[in-house]
Amino acid sequence: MSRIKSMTVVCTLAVLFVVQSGYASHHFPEYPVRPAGGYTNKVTNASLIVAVEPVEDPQQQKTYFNSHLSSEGILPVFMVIQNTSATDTYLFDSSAVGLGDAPDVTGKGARKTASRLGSGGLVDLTLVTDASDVRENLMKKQVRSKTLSPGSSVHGFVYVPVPTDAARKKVHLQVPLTNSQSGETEVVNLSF
Amino acid sequence: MSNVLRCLFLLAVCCSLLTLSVMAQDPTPMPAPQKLSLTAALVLTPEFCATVNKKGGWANEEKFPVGKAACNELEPALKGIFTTLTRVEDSSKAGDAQVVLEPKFADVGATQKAFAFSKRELVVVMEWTVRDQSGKAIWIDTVQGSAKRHIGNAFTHGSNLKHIVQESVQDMAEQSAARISNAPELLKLSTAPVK
Repeated sequence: MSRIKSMTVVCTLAVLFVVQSGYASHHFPEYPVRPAGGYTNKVTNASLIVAVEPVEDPQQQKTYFNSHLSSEGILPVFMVIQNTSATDTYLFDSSAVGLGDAPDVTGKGARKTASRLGSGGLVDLTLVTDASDVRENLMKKQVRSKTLSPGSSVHGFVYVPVPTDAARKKVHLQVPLTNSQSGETEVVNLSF
Repeated sequence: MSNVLRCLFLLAVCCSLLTLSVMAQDPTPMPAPQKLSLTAALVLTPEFCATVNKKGGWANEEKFPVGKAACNELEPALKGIFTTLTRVEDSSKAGDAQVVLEPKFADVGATQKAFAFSKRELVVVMEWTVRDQSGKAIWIDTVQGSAKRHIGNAFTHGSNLKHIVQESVQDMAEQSAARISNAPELLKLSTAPVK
């Protein structure tokens, strides 16, 4: 009888060991993307459409990031930029995206969040040195610099710092885009 | 069925699920690189080549020397897609190259696992800026290279780390070559693609 019990314990531990390894390589689903014109919060500037969708629902944050980011002072905001021009090409530099106002960081973990802000007031993941699946997933889903050829688009997340002890204020996001032919930069402003 | 058999069956099911989850993560194939009839200068600054990314806390800090690997891999990977490719340490030394290629590490992501045989991933995110002879940016893009390997035990960890850095940077370099050579803006600049 005791032999069976000890065998059961060993087997249970072995199963947990394998299951833990499987869990460690958590699969993060891609956030669904639509054409920029299909979002409620969007700005059309000449031939560019810039749309944003803040992911505030804790359940959605859990689904796509396996973490309740808002409770850690981070609001993931999905961004889609579409170049509808038939002739013009635009350069999107993700490092130039920033907040129009000073970042609002208060509550539990505020000091930690403040130490992770980049020059534009957004959360800069390069300042987060965790070696975790969650951090890597945030990095993979982040919006990245890209050349927007005629008809093309780019999408991904920016991470906005938010207070953990109060409702967030309105966020003003600035998205600069440079026309590669003329060299002129247009700044698209979005509020949400 | 005895308890032992039940446990073995459960283990087998778990192992199969694990294998399936790994197989389901195949990356999307990139278009094959094509040759551009352009002369290019690749800017690899000493600072870029010395980039070492650090992950983890003071107790389990790991260092990933991605700069050294990138400076070994990028030139051979990109050489084939231009008429000529010259490696320079500074963009001011690009000479009469038609395009100047400037790589920059956007981020490096590494996962940490608890067991020696657990697979971890290293992702290298490289941002490219291509300038014309006047210094104007004509094309930018971001490429992610990745590799997966066992963390390894106390004896194999160092070697595994070296290999995962090498493999992720190599993947990034190959993807960069495909992306640069298929960029519409560079194809347009290239007078006639050479097959």
